[in-house]
Amino acid sequence: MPLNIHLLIPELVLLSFIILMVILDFFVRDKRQIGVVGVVGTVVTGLALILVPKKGSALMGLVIQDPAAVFFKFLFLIVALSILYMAILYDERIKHWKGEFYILILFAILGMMFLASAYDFITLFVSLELMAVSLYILATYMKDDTRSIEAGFKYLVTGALASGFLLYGISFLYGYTGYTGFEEVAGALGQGRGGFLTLGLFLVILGLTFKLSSIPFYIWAPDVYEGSPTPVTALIAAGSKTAGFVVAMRLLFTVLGPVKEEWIGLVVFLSGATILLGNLAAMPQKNIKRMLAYAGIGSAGYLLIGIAAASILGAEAMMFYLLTYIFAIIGSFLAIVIFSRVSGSDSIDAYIGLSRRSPLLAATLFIGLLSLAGVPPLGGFIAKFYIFAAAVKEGLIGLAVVGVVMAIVSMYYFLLVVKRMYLIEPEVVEPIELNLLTRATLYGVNIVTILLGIYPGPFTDWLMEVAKDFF
Amino acid sequence: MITLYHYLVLSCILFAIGVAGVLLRRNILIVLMSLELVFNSVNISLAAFSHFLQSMAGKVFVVFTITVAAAEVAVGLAILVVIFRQKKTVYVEDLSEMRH
Amino acid sequence: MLLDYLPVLIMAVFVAFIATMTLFVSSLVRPSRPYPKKNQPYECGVDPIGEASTGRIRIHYFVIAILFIIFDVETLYLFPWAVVLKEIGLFGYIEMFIFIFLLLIGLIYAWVKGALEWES
Repeated sequence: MPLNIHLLIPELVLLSFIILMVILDFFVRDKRQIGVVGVVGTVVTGLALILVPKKGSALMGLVIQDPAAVFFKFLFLIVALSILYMAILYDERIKHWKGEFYILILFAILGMMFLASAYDFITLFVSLELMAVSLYILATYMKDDTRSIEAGFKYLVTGALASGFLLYGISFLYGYTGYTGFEEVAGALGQGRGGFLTLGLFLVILGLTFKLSSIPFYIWAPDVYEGSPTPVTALIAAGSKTAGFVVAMRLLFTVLGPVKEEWIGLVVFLSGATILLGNLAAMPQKNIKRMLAYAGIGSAGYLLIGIAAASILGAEAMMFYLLTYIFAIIGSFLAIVIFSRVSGSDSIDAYIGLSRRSPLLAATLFIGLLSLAGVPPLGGFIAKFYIFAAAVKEGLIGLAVVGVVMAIVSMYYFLLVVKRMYLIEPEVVEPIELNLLTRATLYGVNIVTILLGIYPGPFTDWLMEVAKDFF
Repeated sequence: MITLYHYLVLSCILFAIGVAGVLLRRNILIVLMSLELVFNSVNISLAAFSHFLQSMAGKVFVVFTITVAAAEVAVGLAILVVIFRQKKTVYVEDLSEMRH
Repeated sequence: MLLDYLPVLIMAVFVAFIATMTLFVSSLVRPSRPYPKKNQPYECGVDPIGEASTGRIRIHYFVIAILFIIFDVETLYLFPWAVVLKEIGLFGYIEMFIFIFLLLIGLIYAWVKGALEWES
C-alpha cells in the first residue's frame, strides 16, 4: 500500500500552524494575536481540504480519506473557527498560559481530524488520545478556580478509564482477528480463532460511550460542562461528541457491520436509557451549562438510535443530526460566552429579561435551544425526524416512541430558559453592546440553523451519498 | 506449559484490580497508579496475543499504548499538583464542589 | 514447563527467609535506645538544613520528573527504528529526524517557558 502523504496535507498544514503558534507564543505579548493566527490556520486548512482528493488511503492503510471523512473534517474546522472565536472573546478571564489555550484547542481539533480518517486501531487510539489529553488540560485551565480543577480531574479519570476499556476491547478484537487494520479486521471476522468477539465488542462500545457521553460513562459530563471554561465546554460538546460518533460509525458500521446482531441489542438498550436519563435529569438544573450537559446526553441517545438502525438512512440521519447539533451548540455557547462576560454568571436565572437587553443574543440562544429540542422549522426538527424515520424503517418502533415522547419533554426545560429571556421583566435593563463581527457571526449561525430546517433538501441528498461510504 | 490463556487471565486480573482501584481508592495518587495498571494489563494482553498469533501489530500497539499512558499520567500528575496547591488535599472525596 | 521455574521459587523463598531471619535475630540482640539526634536523616554527620529536613521536596523535582517521563518514553520509538534502519532506508531515516525535530520543539518550549529553571 502506498504512502500517499498528499492526502494528509490539510492535517500537515494545521500541524505547521500549531508549531508556528508555539514559536510565536515566545514573542507575542497580546495572546489574542495567536488566536488570530489559529483562525488563519484553520481557514488555510479548510482551503487545503477543498483541494485534496476525496478518496484514497494513506500511510500504508493507517488512514483513509473518503467523502464522509472530509465532511466531518469540515465540521471540525467549523467547530475550530467558532471555538477560537469564543476563546478570543473569553481571553480576559484566562489568567495563565493564554497562548497555549489556542494551541491546545487546535491540537484537539487535529486529533478529531485524524479520528475522522482513522482506519486502523492504532491510528484510532492515538488520535483519540491526542484529542482527549488536550481536552483534559483545557478543562483544568482555570487553575485558580476549584471547579475547573475538579472538572479536569474527573474528566481525566473517567476518560482514562474509558480509554482502558476501549483498549482492552481492541485487544480482544485483535486477538480474535489477528489484525489491527479495519479492512483486515472486517475481512477476518467470519473466520475467528476464539470466542473473544462478543467480549471485545462489549468493551469497545463501553469505552466509546465516554466520548459520546451516553450511559454508562456519562457521569463526568455535567461536572465537566459546568466547571470547564465555557469555550472548552463548547469544544467538548460539539467536537468531542461528534468525533466519538465518527469513530462509532466507522467502527460499528464499517468494521463490525458483518456481526451487527452481536451489538444491536446493546446499542438499543444504551440509546433508550440515555434518552430517558438525559432529558429527565436536565429538567431541575439551575446552571445553563449543566442543563446543556444533560441535553447533550439526551442528544447522544438520539444519535445512538441512528447507530442502532445500522442502515444508510441511519448514518445519513446521524450526519445531518450532528450538522444541526453543532450549529445549535455553537450558537447557544456563543450567546453564553458573550452573556457571561457581562453578567459573570451561568445560572439560568441570570438570563431573565435578556430579550430586552440584547434581542440578538436572546434570539440566538432561543434558536439554538429550540433547534436542540427539535422544534420546527429549525434544523434540529428535520434531524430528529430523519432519526425516527430510520428507526421505524428498521423496526425499532419502541425506541422511536421513547424518542418522540422525550423530545416533547425536552421542550419543557428549554422553554424554561426561553420564558426567562422573553416573558419575565428584568431588574437590569442596561443593553448589551455587540460589535459588528460578533453580530455577523451570530446572524450567520442563526441563518444556517434556520436554513437547515426550511431547506434541508440539498444537504440530505448529499449526505445520503456520503453515508453509503460507511457500508 | 504457559499458554495464551495464562497471560489473558493475568491481564484480566490486573485489569480488574486497576478498575477497582480507580473506583474505590480515595487517594488521587493511587487512582492514577491504578489507571497505569489498567493500561499495562492491556499491554500484557496485546503482547500475549501478538506472540501467540505470530503478528507484529500487537507489539507495535504496545509501544503506542505505553507512550499514550505516559502522556495521560503526566497530565494527571500535573492536575494532582494543582489540586494539592489549591485545596491542600489529595483525597477524592474533597473534590465535590459541584453537586446536583 | 512450569516446573522449570521451581529453582527460582526456592531461591526466592530462601532469600526472603534469610533476610527476615537476620532482621528478626538482630532486633532481639541489639540494644534499642532511640533519641532525636539518632533519628535525624543522615546528612554526612552534619545537622540537616534546608527543605529536606522537613521531609518535603520541592515541587520542581516533580516537574522535571514529568518532563523526564515524557521524553524518556518517546525514546522508546528509537529502538525499533534503529533495528530496522537498514531496511526502511532513507525515508525512515528522514522521518525519524522529523520526529526528533518535533521533540526538540517540545524541549525548547519547556526551556523557554522556564520549566527547566531552578530559581523561579
